[in-house]
Amino acid sequence: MHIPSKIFSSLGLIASVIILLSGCYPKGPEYTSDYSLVVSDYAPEFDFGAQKTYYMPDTVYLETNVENPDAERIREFQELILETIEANMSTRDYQRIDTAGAQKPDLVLGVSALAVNNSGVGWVPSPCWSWYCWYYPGWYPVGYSYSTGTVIIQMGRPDGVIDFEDDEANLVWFAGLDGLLSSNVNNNQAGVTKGINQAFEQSPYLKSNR
Amino acid sequence: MKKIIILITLIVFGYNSYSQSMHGLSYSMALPMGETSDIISKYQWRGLAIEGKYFVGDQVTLGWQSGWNTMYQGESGSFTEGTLTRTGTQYSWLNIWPMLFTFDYFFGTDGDTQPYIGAGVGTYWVEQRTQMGLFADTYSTWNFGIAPEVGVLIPINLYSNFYVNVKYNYGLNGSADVSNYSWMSFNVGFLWY
Repeated sequence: MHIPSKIFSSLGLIASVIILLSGCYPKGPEYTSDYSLVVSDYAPEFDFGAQKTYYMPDTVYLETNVENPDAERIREFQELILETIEANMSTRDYQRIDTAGAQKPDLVLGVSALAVNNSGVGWVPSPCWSWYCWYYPGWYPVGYSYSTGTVIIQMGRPDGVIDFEDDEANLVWFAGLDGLLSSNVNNNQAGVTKGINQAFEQSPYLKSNR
Repeated sequence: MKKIIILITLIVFGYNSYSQSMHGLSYSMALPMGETSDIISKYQWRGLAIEGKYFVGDQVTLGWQSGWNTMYQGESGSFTEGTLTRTGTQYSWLNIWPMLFTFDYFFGTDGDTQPYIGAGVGTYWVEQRTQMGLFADTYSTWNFGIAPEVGVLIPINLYSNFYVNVKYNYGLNGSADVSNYSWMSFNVGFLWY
């Protein structure tokens, strides 16, 4: 069967353009910081200005699948998280109290963190574009490993149980920080500080008037 | 497999050997409009259009048009919906594959510069992806599509022409999750007999 050569040249031209377009396809986030996300939500009917004191435990509830985590590093992170939250609350004229006194706090803050290491094997498309690639598999396996970190801050009224899954819970404010963890500890600490500050910045209603 | 490739080749390009037909390849840029500009607002530079035009009269062609447009935008900032606020970089992609039947009317005479008007009707397959942080949503929809266009064809020699056209694309879908899509495409390329 004779096929005109111009058909082949047309197909070749189109294939070339498609390959060229594939090469410049936008891949989205490139750096660890590109994955950072800060989310906050609040109960609009709650009067944040009428509150003054709050209680926050001295520990961060940590959940992780990392084997033998570095206890000292975790302690540093806990202190950093709690100190940053306290500094922001202080800026908004809220006062932290402990439970040793008889005073009942107006608000309760709970802080939890999640560090997850993800690793496994994924399949990616073969980069081979030549005709002989037809004789090879189009996909090949690659190993991957990355860690994600999440910090959740929950604020509620002390006269009930804070239950995020329960619509009737006493939760009045929530903030979540999420992103990829870097291998550089300083970068992670800077990211957590920046994220907590951002959570307060995007929540201007957190301000005591008392 | 070889037979299928040959069959598709003949269907798509089989009329190439007749002078009553033209086939085109063009670089396609896009300007999102309407609700689409709420998703991606910037002018887009990634696109390709292919088409065939078959003369059914001296001035009139029927044909087809397909291609691939990729729209992309990364936007950093705070996004608030109700009481919920998200801060980060939101990445949005739209991949659009048109499959249209076309009608064109050419003014002037063959061999001269010829303006033309036309329209396409058919379908757009659109994949919309939004990613923020580690979370992503992807929706794929078939859209009923219409595409009026104006263009001009400039002869280079007996066998090929340079051409430019502007096309308004509108894709209508019945999905509650995504909006209808519209954009202007600006195409620059070659048509050959």
